[in-house]
Amino acid sequence: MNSNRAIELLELYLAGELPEAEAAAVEAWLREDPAGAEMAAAAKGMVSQLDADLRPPAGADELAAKIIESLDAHVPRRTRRSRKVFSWAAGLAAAAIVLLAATTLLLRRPATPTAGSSDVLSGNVVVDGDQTATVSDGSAISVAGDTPAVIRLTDGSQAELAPATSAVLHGRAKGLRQLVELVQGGGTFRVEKANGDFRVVTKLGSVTAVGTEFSVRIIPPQDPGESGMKMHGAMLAVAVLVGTVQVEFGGKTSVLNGGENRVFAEDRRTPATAGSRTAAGVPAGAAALGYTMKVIDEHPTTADIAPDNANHGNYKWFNGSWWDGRRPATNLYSTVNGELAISYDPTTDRGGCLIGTPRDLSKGALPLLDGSKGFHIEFDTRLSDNDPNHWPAVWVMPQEHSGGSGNPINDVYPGDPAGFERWMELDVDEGGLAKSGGAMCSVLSWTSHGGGYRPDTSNNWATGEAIDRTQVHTFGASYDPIKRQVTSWVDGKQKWQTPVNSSSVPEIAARQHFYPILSVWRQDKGTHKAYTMYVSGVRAYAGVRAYVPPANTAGAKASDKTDTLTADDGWCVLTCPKTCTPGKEFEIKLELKDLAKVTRNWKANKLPVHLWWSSKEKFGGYLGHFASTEVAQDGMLTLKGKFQLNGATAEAAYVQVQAYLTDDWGNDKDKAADCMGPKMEVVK
Amino acid sequence: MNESDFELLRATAAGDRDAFGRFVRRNTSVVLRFCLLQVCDQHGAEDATQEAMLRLYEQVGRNRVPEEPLPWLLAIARRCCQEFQRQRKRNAARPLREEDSLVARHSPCNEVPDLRHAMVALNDFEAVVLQLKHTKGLRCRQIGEQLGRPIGTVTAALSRAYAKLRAKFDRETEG
Repeated sequence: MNSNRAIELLELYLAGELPEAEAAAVEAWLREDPAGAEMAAAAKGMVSQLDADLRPPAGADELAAKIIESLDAHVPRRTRRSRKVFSWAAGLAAAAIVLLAATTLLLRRPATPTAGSSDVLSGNVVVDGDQTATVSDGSAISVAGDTPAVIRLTDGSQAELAPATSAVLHGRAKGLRQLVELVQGGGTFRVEKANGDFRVVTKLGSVTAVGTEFSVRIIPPQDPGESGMKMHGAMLAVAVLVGTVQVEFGGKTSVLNGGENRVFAEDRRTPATAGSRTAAGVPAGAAALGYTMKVIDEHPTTADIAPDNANHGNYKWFNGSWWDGRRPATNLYSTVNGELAISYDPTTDRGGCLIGTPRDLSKGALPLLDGSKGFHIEFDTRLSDNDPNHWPAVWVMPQEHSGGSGNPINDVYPGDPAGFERWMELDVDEGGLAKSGGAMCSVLSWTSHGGGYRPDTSNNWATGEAIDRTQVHTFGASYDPIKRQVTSWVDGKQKWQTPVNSSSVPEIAARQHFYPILSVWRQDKGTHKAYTMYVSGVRAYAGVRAYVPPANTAGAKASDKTDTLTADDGWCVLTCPKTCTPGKEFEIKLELKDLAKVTRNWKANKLPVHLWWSSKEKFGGYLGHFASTEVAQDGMLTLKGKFQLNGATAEAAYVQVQAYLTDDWGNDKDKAADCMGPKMEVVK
Repeated sequence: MNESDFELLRATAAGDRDAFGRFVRRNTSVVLRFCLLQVCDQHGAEDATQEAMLRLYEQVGRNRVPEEPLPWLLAIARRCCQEFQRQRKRNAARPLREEDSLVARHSPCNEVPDLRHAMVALNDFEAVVLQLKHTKGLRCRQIGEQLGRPIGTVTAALSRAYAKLRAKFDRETEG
């Protein structure tokens, strides 16, 4: 047996899985080859490591028992699948443009609805790059292949979506029994007769079925070509077969009756692009806040990146951040036709990370963005391809936050407990994370101590429209310290904005100084592929006047001694400095406000609840996980357990208990704030 | 082991609820370990496991019995994990980079970061075989019985899985 073959079989040999003859051959090789012992030791090490890493997880038997128990309440539906294929509306076929058609047909026989997820009955439906048989409410889908996909929606209606269609199936939302957001492509809908409206929304307008049959098409805009063809903007074509529909388009409401059809044309607007600037060349996002002072105007190349151990003050850009355990390899950066190319390499699972301040957070050549004056920053970037597993990001972080990395911790402020850090992170864009596949801006107010940082996050994850990232886009965001507001801009158009005085935009950001970051990474969905982000520009504009924030009021209140209840972006938070003490048995009561919203038919009167805790000092972990909690007749839900604070809490008198109810991971409606009543109290 | 996974699900489809119970008891540890590698969160992994099992149960109830139940179940579980991660991203801590979250450093993922990344190189069948071997401690013969596949197919898949992992680990060590 040659060495290569023997090495291939080593693990199987060690596992005792080889037939006798092959095992003997491997043993002979081990005796004869001096490298054999070393190879065998390595193989043994790997097998041992796999045994350890893939060991049976704790709690599996208990979980299996719970699952089996829950089968009693979960009766599989045995409805017969309809194979009927619906034809396209004849009137629309004549229109010669069949990019998108949505037809609802009123059926007389309602089917059993399934709250929370839609079933793919036929065709190839893709979510996040994976083919799927079920689609959770809120998921963005696309139809792959050459055949239409038939989907049974959560209200029992059926959708037949044409190839290359993209849509978001929202399910029950906004007071509607069914909301379908069509992004592109087309299809046919059969709408079940039931209470509530069925609505199809597009970026142009919406069509609401009022017991009727209708079709909708989006006709994409036509651009002027070299031939000088007449151009038109995007249009919405609606044809009513039976009954009545209400169309919202361009701020106007129209009613169409059976037999009518109409094309609603959009005014041709001047496309907003990165060139949407004032006469003085200030981008709209900066001009809107009066931030006219350009403080950064860079077209970075590899020559601008500091070599290791260089004199920091001479360089504008740096390879790797303070939180990188090791610097990215320098071959992840190159200059291509004047653009800085930052790459991700799947063979090493590493991507470049370009930072506007040195790893030791000392001063570099680029100015920091003074939070007290506010700023608008924008990045011109494109990607080598549009794979959804990519994770390019352009963002800013404050120099004050060092995370205790050996650098001074400068984000602890007077009035806060010792070591209690606070800072703002502003993610101008994170490619591939948004549900729509478009740009995503996030702002995070981080607090707490190292080991237990917690963010208050706002972003536009759920909104927006897909973009082609192989084209250059300008991703911008502005921070207004006075209004405590962040605004997102893409290609010169405002895309998203936090509320004024957003909890995700901390007051403390006005005391901090921000530097730009461009990072190239990958997500955990699908195969990791090599890709490159090309950077052609980074600009920042600042205000002139410094805003002086009031004295510290936003920090942790060590003196708080009163139990309080707040809603925190889907969590119900009970702060209980007096009653939640280590080792104490607890009995917490939650009052559910609207049980119907959070109860799946197969989990009637049983809900999963997550309960976890943290103190000011440290993130604690899960206090209890109640996979199937009985809901009492009066809608009260009682949780019992014991405060196990791990013995590591330095300040156990300030405990936050957070509960979260969910009926379905993908369901946007299941926020605790929506489904919980005002009562959440420790009663024991 | 008398019944393959496929036979258990076929019996379930025919109305034998206990058969699905046996399927659940047999495979929960494998799915849970798989989900732990995906979501780095014990309770999230438990919920994803439960959700995946129930979705499979629902499918089987509609006479949709996958020919390779365990790889199919792991595909559902992967989907559930993705949904969990999306929900978590919206509702809880979501650092831009994993390194920026000290909470994440203590998550189950950080116990086995190399394995998480290396497992990506395996196809579904190889991942299932590897897990049945190391999570359940089954012999190749037993794995073949459960999956309804010849022992040679199982052994070859396990050998390929080891080779891929070895190559991945070796490359990372050199890198």
